[in-house]
Amino acid sequence: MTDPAVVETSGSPRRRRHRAGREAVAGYLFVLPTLAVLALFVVYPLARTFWLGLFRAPPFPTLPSKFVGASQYGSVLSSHDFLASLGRTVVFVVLTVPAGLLLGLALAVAADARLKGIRIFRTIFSSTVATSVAVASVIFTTLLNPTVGLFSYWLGIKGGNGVLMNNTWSLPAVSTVTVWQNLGFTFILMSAALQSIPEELLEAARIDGATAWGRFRAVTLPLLSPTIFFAVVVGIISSFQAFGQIDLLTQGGPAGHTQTLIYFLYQSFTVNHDPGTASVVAAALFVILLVVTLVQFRFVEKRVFYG
Amino acid sequence: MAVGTGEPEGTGATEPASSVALVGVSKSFGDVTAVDDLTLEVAAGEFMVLLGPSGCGKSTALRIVAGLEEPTSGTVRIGDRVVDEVEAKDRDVAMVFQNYALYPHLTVRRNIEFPLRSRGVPARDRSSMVAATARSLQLDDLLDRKPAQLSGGQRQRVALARALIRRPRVFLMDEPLSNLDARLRTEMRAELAELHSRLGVTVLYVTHDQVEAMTMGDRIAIMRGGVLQQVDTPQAVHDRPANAFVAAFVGSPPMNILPGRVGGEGGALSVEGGFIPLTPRAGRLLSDRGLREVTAGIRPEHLVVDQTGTLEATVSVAEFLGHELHLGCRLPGGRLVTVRVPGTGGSWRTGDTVRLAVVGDPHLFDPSDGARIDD
Repeated sequence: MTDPAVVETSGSPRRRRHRAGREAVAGYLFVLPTLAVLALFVVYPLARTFWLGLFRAPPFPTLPSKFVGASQYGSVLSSHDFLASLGRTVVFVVLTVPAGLLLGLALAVAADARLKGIRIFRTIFSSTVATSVAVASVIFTTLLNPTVGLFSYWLGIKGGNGVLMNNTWSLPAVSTVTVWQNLGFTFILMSAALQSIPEELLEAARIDGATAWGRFRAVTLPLLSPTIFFAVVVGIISSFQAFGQIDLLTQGGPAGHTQTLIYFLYQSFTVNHDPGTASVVAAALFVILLVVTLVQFRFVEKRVFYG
Repeated sequence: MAVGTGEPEGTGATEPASSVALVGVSKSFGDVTAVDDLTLEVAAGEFMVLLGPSGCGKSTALRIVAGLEEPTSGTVRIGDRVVDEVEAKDRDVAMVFQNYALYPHLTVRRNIEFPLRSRGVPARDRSSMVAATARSLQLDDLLDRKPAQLSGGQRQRVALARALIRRPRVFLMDEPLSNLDARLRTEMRAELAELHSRLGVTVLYVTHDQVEAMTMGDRIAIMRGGVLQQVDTPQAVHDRPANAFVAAFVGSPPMNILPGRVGGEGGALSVEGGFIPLTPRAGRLLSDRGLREVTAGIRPEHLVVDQTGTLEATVSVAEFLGHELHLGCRLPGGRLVTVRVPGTGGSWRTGDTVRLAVVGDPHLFDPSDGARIDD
């Protein structure tokens, strides 16, 4: 008896081409809705942002914007405001990402111990994931308040403008709030990854003579590497885009000391009514994040073990 | 494929094999007692198999020896040293896990040398030791692969190499063959036994497979519900099981267990489907104890189909294995007994009525506690 499948695949070349064509059309139809949504909400706004960067805002809102071409990109990207904001953003990323990661990992390792009542600690450690930026900011505004704040009391700061209005300490303070707020997410991420490491591997390492640190370094850490890599990539992007806590805690102050790129963008658009500059900053932010992420995938991912 | 015949050269200082002793060891997890007052001595260089069904506490006992579990009570000795307070890494034991527990992110080479790195062995020595161990287990060509790129049997060898490389005093193996297919398991069984006799190491081997236990162990320790049932050579365990549980657990096909009453025809044992004649010695054993009820155990090879047989049964299933036939026969009360028929003869069909004769005395057990009734 002839196998129908064999007949189907051994049809004439013309028939096979026809079938392949039909399959291709069906494939495109399946991805069309996704492509349409992406085009409408991602590609078009992105292209529009780059386009708007070519127009200089008029001195008065009622006047039309002026097409100035790439010159606006040159002037904004070389301006002191942009470079200073970029520098602050980099400092903000350096202050938030490694600290958040290390703390989340340390808490996850601590909470991984089989101890009585450890679930209470797990709940506490992960609780900030349910806290919004606004709530976190309100809590820390109170805690850091120079008059009634507990932190100010502990730090021995009485009166004055407080930490949030201090040129030196405002950015570290906002970074601390950010680390605290993201800690729950990092903790949950790391805890889940830790629990997926087979217990047998750590037991084998124990018998093989590895110390607790040796086991962590040689077994746990490499097996956590995909999660750590993910947390780093997401953390850097998230820190580059951090806005809520800056707006609620310092509004970019004092004297622009917490003005990161995203806040510079916001102020250019809403305060200075300069969509041209804001668009250039947005485009720059996009390119920076793209490059940073690609660099991470190109160089850092080599050290990641995916199993 | 056989492992290399040469002893791994340069695999560290040759440590003499150590004895292992568990003395009154118990382990409880909450209300559950996993190991109950276990006392077991393993001689230096001995291959001891811990055998029992799932959940009998054999793996827990092994983990206690390894230092991965702390006993609730009792003492563990390795050689002359009490190791109750000694960390797993300092007990000088190696363990092969059921799932091999190979480090998935490390190459075979790095997996094998892991115990050496952990102990700070210099790189030059490590390299020669890895080469020698890999050669002895025919892993030379696989050293740069990751575990995911290996077959089950190859992973098993890597796990063995990792255990062998530093020549520990005791090898602990937790069902190391259970993830292999039947053919590979048979091969590895022979290889492990050969490796043991070649290196003369002490092995404590956990399995639920009685064939593994019978073929590999110098002695077998059978456990049930955390309690040690019997420790003896495979032959002795098979021929003189300490109780009905051991009798039924060891042997393939398993021993037929029949409840019986003393005082049948001519001092015979009345059982379902007929009676079992007893020798005067067996009769005396029962009368000395004043037992009326007894549990009889008959190995399938001690039942023969014979027209003069004293048991009547109906053929229920016939399993042809090539060199022998296993005949499943249903007694009138519904109990199934297995008859081992050597060779390829016989033409029984389902539903045939047969008579079965018992060769020799059956094993006799006290129904109250299952203990063997013996001289």
